[in-house]
Amino acid sequence: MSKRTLLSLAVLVGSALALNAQTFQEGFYLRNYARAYQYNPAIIGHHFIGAVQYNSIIHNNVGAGSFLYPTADGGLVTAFNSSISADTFLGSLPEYCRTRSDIHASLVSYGFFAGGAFHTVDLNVRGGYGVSVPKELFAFAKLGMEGGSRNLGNLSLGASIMAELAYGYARQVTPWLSVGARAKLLLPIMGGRYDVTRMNMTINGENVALDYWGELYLTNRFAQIGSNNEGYLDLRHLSSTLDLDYLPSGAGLAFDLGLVFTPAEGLTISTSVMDLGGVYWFYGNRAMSSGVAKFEGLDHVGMAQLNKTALKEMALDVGNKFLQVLRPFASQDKWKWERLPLQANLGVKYELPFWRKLALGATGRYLNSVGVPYWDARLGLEINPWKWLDVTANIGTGARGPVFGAAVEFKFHHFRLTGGLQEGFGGFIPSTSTHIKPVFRVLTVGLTYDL
Amino acid sequence: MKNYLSLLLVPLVLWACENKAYDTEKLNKEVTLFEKEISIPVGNIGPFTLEDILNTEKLSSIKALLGGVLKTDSDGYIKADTEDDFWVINAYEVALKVPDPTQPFDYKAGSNSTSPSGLGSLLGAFGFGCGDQKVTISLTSPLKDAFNLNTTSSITCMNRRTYETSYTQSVPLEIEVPRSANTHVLKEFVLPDNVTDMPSEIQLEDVVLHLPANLPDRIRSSRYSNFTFNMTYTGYVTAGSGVSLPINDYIINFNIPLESFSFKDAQLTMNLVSTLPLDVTLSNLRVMKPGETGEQNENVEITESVVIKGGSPEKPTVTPVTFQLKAKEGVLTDFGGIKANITISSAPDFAKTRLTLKGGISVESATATLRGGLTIYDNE
Repeated sequence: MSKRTLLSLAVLVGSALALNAQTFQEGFYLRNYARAYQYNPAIIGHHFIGAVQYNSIIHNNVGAGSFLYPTADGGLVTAFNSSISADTFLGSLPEYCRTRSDIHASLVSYGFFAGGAFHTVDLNVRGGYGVSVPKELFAFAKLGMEGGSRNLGNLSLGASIMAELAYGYARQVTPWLSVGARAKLLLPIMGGRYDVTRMNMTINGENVALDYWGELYLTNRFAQIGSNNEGYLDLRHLSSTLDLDYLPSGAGLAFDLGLVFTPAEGLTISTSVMDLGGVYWFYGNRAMSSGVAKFEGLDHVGMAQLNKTALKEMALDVGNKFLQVLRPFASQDKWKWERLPLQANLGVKYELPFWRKLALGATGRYLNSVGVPYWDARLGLEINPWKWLDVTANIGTGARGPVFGAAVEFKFHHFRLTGGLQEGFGGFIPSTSTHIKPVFRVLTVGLTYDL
Repeated sequence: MKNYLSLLLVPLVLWACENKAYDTEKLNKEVTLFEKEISIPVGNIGPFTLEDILNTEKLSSIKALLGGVLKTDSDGYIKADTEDDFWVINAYEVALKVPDPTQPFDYKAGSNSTSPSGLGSLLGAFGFGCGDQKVTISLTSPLKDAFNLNTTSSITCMNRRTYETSYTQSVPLEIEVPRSANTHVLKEFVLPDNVTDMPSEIQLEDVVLHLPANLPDRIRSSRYSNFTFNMTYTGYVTAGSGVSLPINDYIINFNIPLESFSFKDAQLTMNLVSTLPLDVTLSNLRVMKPGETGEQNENVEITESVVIKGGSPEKPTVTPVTFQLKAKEGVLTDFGGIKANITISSAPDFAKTRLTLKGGISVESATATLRGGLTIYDNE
């Protein structure tokens, strides 16, 4: 595999693990949602201060239903049970099984008017983790080796947390058009990832071989991992490097751009693009695992060695040979560019002229995670029967199947409490929050104070 | 905060509710991996030498019988050397029979015979043969003078199973024995290659010693006063053409604790390379259940028989072999070992090949293949 291909794969996988943008679409429908600018920076809000907003996003392109199967007698078996055919199991999996979980927390938000424009400032924290596993890995476990070899590479996992300082600007340029933009300074705090770009397994009657290439990236602003005499990473040699002068672990910049059209009374058309940009991460702890390990069978083992102890020792030797390939060899630190997943939103809503408290609308979204692209389109309605209550609901379809969403905003005195949920149909495993079907799920809770 | 919101959104959440069909409390964790096929190399094992085979319990009696007599050379080839001072004639006793001590005297000693101990019978009984056989008859003389000896030397070989004479040779000899001769060779018989039976009789007939006058004065000393006829036999044990050693119900214990594992169909393929000039037949193979009872596992089909063809170090024989273990119904869960009848028999092309303790059978390029998957049970 060429370096170029390896690099492309790394970017592909890396992008799939990048943090998702804020995706509270219901904020578009809520009439007085203070943080609507986070959906479209061109939305002009009101003077407010926000204390907390919690936003959790789960994005899977494979659900638990691919791995668990109810039986006719009321039982439950795994996909690896012999009663589940390989076609059924593997047919339900995408080429790369990916799961991503993010949390966005707005610590402080402030919106104000000055100079004829609406300004916003946010201090946020973004964090999340993701895993990508190739379907081939499951095919290997289910079926074994077909043709003697399989490429089990393109496996990755990662987690990161970063701070975000955002400034937004929106202006009504004409009575029917407002424009806006938001600039976000991204400050990585901690992050790590492990990318297996190559894991070619050969298991046949002649040999068992592993050709492996994996890379470990870890930020080192809190701890530097040392290496042993042979040059391999050694967690026993861990030195604390906490020094606030050296935070953060890199820097990034992203932009949100938006337009809002109001061509007629009660009609709003919104279009926006979010997270144009990326982050340069500095990974001070870096290591590579690579090599080829091979086992071609026992080498003239004599009668004296055909006992449990000796065979066990031989098996351990072989195992260690393969494990040696996986050992991370310390490598030079690296700056690594990671693009943020781009999101494009389109929304339209219309307050019914005969009852302005009710609005109907439609939204569409496309999220380019590269590895896990997502889209959905929904029809929604919003009702604001009283000043202190605003409710919206929507239903539609998307890349993960049918979807629905709802949000509610309570206003008491100057406080606004907002909560919303976007979910897919299909249910989840009892007593857990594990979805049975692939899902794009967003849960939002926030509190603001109108000034 | 998250919990409050969950309550607020209950009507909507009910749309995406818990699906009781996926209750993991009732999850059956049994899994079957590698359902189609997986093969791994086992590699090269052995050789299992003749020495290893003779060390087994079933053949230990043979080893005990042969161990005291058989020796090996530096290459491990089994020799059947033996030596025997088979005829001792005291010179002083001969001197008493001389009619006129002042005159030379022809002493008619008579005839005598010997054979290489009971070794020939033993080897022949088991069907083994001998090769590169050589018999040397020599004489140690107590006299200070040289003298002449006349005799007819003969050697006879007999098949120990059929009791038929397979070879005989008789040679008249007229030998001048030097003074104070020490194991002076009278006759050396080198048996032809096609003679595989050990000599049953080595004979000296009508021995006449032409002795000098004043015999008592011609004897070296009272300590060295014997005419000693010595027979030395050298030969190598060969595979022979009549070997048939059955070992019934031989158990090979694997003691594989499958415990939480089971499989349906396993195959072991290999090349058996033999430098042992004997055919080894494994027949009536049966799979046993674990434990001391030796109970057969009736749910297993196994390859019925395997014949490993004999070979030699110079010309090894390769026999491709496949052992198949298959469950008749369901899966195999118990695996205590394999019981088989083993027969070691002569290999027709290698009857004359020497036996070496280092010769044996090697397993080469062995591969294990699992079909139908490896099932792992949840023992909770």
